[in-house]
Amino acid sequence: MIDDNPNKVLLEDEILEDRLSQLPFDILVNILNLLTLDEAARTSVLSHKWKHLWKYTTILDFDASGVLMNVTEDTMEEDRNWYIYWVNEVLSSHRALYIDEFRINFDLDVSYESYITNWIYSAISRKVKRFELSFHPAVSWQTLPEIYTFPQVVYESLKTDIGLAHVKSLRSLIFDSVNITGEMLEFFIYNCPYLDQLDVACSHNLLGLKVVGSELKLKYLDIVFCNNLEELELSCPSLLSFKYFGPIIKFTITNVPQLQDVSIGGGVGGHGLGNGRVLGPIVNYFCQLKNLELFVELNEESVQFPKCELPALRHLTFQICARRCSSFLDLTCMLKSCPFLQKLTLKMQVSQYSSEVRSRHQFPKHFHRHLKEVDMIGFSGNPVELELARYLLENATALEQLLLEPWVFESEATIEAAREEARKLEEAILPPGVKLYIH
Amino acid sequence: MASSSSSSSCSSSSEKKITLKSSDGEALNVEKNVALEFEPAKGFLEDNSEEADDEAIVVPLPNVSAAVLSELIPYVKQRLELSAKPVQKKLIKAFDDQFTRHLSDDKLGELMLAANYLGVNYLLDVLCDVTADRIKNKSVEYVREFLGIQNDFTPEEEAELRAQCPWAFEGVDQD
Repeated sequence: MIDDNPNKVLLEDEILEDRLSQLPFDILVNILNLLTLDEAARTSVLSHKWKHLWKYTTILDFDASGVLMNVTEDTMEEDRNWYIYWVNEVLSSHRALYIDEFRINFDLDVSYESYITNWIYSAISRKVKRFELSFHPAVSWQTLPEIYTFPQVVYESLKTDIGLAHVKSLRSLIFDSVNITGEMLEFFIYNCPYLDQLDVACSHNLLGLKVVGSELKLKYLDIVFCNNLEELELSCPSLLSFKYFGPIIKFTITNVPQLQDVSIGGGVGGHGLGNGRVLGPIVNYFCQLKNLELFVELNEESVQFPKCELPALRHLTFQICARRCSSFLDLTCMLKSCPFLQKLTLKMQVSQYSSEVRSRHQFPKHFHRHLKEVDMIGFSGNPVELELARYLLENATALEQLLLEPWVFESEATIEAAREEARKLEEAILPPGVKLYIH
Repeated sequence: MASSSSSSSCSSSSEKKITLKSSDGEALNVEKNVALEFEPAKGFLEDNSEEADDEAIVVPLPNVSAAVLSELIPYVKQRLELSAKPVQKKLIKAFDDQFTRHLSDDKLGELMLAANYLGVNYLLDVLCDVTADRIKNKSVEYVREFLGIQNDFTPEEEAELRAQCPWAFEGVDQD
């Protein structure tokens, strides 16, 4: 049970006398909150007066991205044990009664469940505001790891009066590679009056989710790679941003007057455009969007774009997955529906271009008068890409910069070939006023 | 010290001048809207609101020196002008960066104490950021020096503390 004493009472007798001595406790803690946990803990050896201060930080961000970047299958067990040890050591020293943030991000599977469950209790009992559990695998395991499941027993304890009082502080919830059900997520959505962000990735237990209510505060909702999801219902006037990546689902969306950022797609068999994909009823809200990211599958057939106007759109991103595709010019149909577009980003993953690419020298004219910036990520110098680049250079009359960037994972020879094509383009037709960036 | 402007110029509150008296006894004239940004001055002015002539009021600020006040006043004044316009956050950030970039470590500490005492929270937040930036990934010795802390541990005590959280001392830059 949590008592009502604020954290600072505990240190009242430890008055600091150095340069910042007269600053109140919570300001010093604010400074420590801006440091990493390691940096904050190192202040314990500054002097007696600083010995315990770091234990009252209100941000517990267990960030080990440096370690995660370098893990291999061989070091994994040791690294996991180190991470568990680190989190447990910090938690055993930590004394703040309330915390703003608790963030776990490491490759941990179900075999660590007893530790993870304790961490959830630790965070929730400190009335955490921003809570993240991310267990995304850092290496590609040969057999898929069994992921942690949000325990029923924790869920039951949250439903009690004490549990409800604790979760009320939640503002942001992020679950990545945690099996959590729609019922549990709805519990948080409907019982946390300040919840404004919910991200769920790779939960196999999420089958359906209903986010419906005029009094909800939710602004950001991300549902990605929940491959067993069948149904999603959204009716939430506060929603600003929505991202869905995954299989085709039964999807209803109404009453989202503030929605302005949308990202929608999926892998093979998912939402998006092209090859029989469905965008669904979200098209009805396209007219109010400022930012849109769309997954597009291109092949030999042409893509049918939904009939829609996007007068508010400023930034359009296409995630292109293409096989045997012979032209990207179909994409420009969609550009015509966005008269005030300022930025276009293309992320191109092309397994193979058609061998019969006939590069056109005359393009249909349609001026894009507000388009200032185009990024082509995954540029390989193929004629299909060059054709689109030339179309944009001719028709985007206000263009200021064009970025051509090969994927970093490509071979040096492929990257050099792409750069060579980019330089040719620069010499041949670059209009004055346009800066070309080749990465 | 009386304001040099004529006593008839009291058309808007922003033109009214208030006198602040620093810890070292100096009197500084500031616009009333700037003075109102300082919590103790605001409280003092409210308590003395029956005083007809603002220019006769002298607000004592016994915890802030004239040197610090004369840095704070132009900052608050410009910051007020910026926030009155519909400017982007980026501009305010650039203004804050400009202000903090050349602050010495000593001055940074003095300003923090003053901003805290005067309740200028937006400045205090900025100064906290700057302080954290300056001690990020630095050695214990550096941070001690920076904050002017006297090490009162025996070497044995310090070694013991370090041993209590060895994870915190891996991979520290040498200043």
